[in-house]
Amino acid sequence: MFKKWISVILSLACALSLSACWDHTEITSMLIVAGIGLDVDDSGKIYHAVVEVINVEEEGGENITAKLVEGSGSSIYAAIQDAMVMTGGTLYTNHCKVVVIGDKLARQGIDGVIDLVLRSPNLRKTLGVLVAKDATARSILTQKTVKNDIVSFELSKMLTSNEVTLNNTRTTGIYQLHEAFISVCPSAVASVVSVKENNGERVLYIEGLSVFWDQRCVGYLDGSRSGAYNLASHTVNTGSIILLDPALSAQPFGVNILQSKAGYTPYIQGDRLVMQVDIQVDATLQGGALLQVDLSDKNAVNQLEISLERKLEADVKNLISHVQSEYGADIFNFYKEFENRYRREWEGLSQDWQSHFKNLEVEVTADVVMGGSGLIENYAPHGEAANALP
Amino acid sequence: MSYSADKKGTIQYSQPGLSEDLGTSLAIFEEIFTDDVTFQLREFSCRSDNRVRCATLYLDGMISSRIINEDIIQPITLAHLENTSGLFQTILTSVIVGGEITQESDMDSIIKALLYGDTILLVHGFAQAIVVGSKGFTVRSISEPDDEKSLRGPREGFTESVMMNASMVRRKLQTSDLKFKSRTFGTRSNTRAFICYLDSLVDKGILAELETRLDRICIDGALDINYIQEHIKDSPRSIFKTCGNTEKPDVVAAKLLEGRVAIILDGTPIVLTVPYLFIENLQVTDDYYTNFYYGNIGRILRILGFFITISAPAVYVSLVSFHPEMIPTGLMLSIAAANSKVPFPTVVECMGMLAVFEILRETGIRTPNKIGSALSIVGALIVGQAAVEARIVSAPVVIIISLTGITGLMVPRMSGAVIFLRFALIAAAACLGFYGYFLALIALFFYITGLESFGVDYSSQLFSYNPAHLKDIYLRPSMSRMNTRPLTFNNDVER
Repeated sequence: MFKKWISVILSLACALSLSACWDHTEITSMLIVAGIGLDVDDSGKIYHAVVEVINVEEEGGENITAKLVEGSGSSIYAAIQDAMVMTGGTLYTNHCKVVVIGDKLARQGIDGVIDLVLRSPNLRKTLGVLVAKDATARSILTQKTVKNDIVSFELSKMLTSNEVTLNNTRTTGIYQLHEAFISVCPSAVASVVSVKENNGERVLYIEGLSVFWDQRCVGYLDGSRSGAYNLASHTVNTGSIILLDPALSAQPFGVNILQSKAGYTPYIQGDRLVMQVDIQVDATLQGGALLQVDLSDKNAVNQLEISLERKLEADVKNLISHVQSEYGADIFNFYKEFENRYRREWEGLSQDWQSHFKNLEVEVTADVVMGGSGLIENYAPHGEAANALP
Repeated sequence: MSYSADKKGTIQYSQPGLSEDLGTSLAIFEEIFTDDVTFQLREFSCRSDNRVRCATLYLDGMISSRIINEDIIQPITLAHLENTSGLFQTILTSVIVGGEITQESDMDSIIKALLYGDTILLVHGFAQAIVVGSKGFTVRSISEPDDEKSLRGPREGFTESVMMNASMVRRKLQTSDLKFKSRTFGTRSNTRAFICYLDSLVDKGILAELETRLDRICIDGALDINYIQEHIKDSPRSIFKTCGNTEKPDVVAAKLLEGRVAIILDGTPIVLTVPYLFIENLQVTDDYYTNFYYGNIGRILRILGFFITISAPAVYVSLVSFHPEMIPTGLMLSIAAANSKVPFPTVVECMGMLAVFEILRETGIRTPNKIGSALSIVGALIVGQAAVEARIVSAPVVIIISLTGITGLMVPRMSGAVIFLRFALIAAAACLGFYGYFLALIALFFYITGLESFGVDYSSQLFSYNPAHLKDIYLRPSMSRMNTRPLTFNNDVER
């Protein structure tokens, strides 16, 4: 009996002392952080933090609103601490959805931001990163939103939906940036948020990508180039491409991407480094595309596929050469292919991959399969033809 | 005094038997039943020979006067009897009308028969008594038990009469293999009971163990089966029942067919069955009386219900007080908004609401039906609405406690254990969050697996890789596949 109790007490003592994540926090005593905005002033020495906290103490509790808490300091951490002073030090960041980085801070370097998130026990490492193009993070978080009263939540939803439905950006988590920056080729992309005019109102707009090299933002890709980037570097299940081919239609027409997959094959021929990019795309015509060709004819579909292939090849090639010449940042991770396939040569290449990347010869081949078009030979009559029916 | 009773209620009679003299015998009874107005004594003699003197003894209210008048007194007074040495046998065999007649000379047995509603007939000149079965006390008619209602299947429930209850079981199992062993419990109540089993199926070891435990019982009154149950259950301080209770003869019959033993006690409609396993808490008759798809849905819901009713408040406390990051953001904001003006910590809210729920439940049981509806309105309004509007508790806590209460009704056989477990798990969760909750759940698991019921593991068959063991545990197979009995305490496997 005595042994039994001793073993129970010892087990409990071990169990309780090992409970490292024991952390009692009443939900009502916390200020829930929805998002964080980080800026740096013109001198590049004073950092500014804007923390969007959710105000759940509204009467009735139905209209949950947000408040901004701001702080400044000589480091990002000090700025956040300054903001915390105003809240009594009870900021709860587990549900923080996004971190918005001002243009200046992004260009100066985001190592402090990554360090802050990685060291925090509460901030999620999957936290979405947004770079405020030509703007401050504060100006983004103080912007009026269309749907949600909480800007950070709106940004988080826009980020996901834009990637999934429009293919004009790409969500990047803090941990992905960190992994990229500690690699041989410290390059990465992050989503871009900006403010645009819409019906006389200034609204938030997520489109495009910011290009990072060695923790610094070195430039931006617009929406269409971001779409091409996604096609060239990832498996994509959405997106649309506008085609203008006089042989097919007098008007521009749209094509929906159903699925796409990119594959890389590196070659070393003497001193030449060549990267073969193969893109396989399943696509379908968008509604409202009035083509001059009969889509029940296989040749016409082939013509459409070739037209789209040429367009995709041109777009991707253009993108890659733009990134090579303007930024020199291997955001496509081509280096991994050389590292895997040419391990011996890679030792030499890795010493100065950035210059090798700039001079890399890239060949792009697209293979498009159009589906779901032209299965019906006799179209349903419309317009005058329909009126003429008995 | 012709008898003496000790403090335990054991009665010793100074006269071990009756006297041949009727007057002397009657004096013994009159002395034993001094100050008992229900004791009735009537002397009469035969019309043909007034030397043939007899007396009937009975307790008023316990007998049927028709039997005494028409089956005993009238035949004797009208018969042509002679005061001979064979008079007693003549009366016993040829005069008295009635089916239940015995000859008795032991004083203790005669008194017990008298107390149980039989009539004692004494004949002058003979130191023996004729015990005539004349029980005529009123018993409640057979009705459907409120606590074990079923959608389909038999509606009858046990009554307070042990004989009627035995007959109901007998009607279900019409075989001479069904045995009823008689016992008496309570030195003062002398409550009759039957130990009931199917001789060919019962595990003799379990039966012997049961009888040994029953032999040890020493109480002065057994007013309900719980008086017996608490004396024979394996872990007396356990929160779980290790003996089964039912009010339905069909349930008893089904358990006897699985080799269990039933104890039917006089004066209570509850019948005890042993051994009793954990899974029986979650089995109901509708599982077997309805289509097995439908029945299994119900069983799965009850298993889930058990976990929800013990866990819901503890999980809520863990999430809200320790792990809000695990709650989806939208839901967390709703909970935070609802909690914003509530002055108490979540654990206090939950404990308080559970206490209020238990108070309402207990009040509902004790309340006369007429004001029961008024009580429920007051309870619902005060607890459900006013408390939330007054910001004393938050709406999510009311929802959680309501869910806890509703799911608790799905497992009525564990109602006591469930109340205890709810509070214990909340306390563990309030100390260590999910960590504490799961520690407590593991402890509960160990506790259940450590229990036994009459030598059988309480959790037996719950955790087995053998499909035959798992049959009728979590899911009930179709009747055609229910061709084996539970394997744990039965050697006769084939049904």
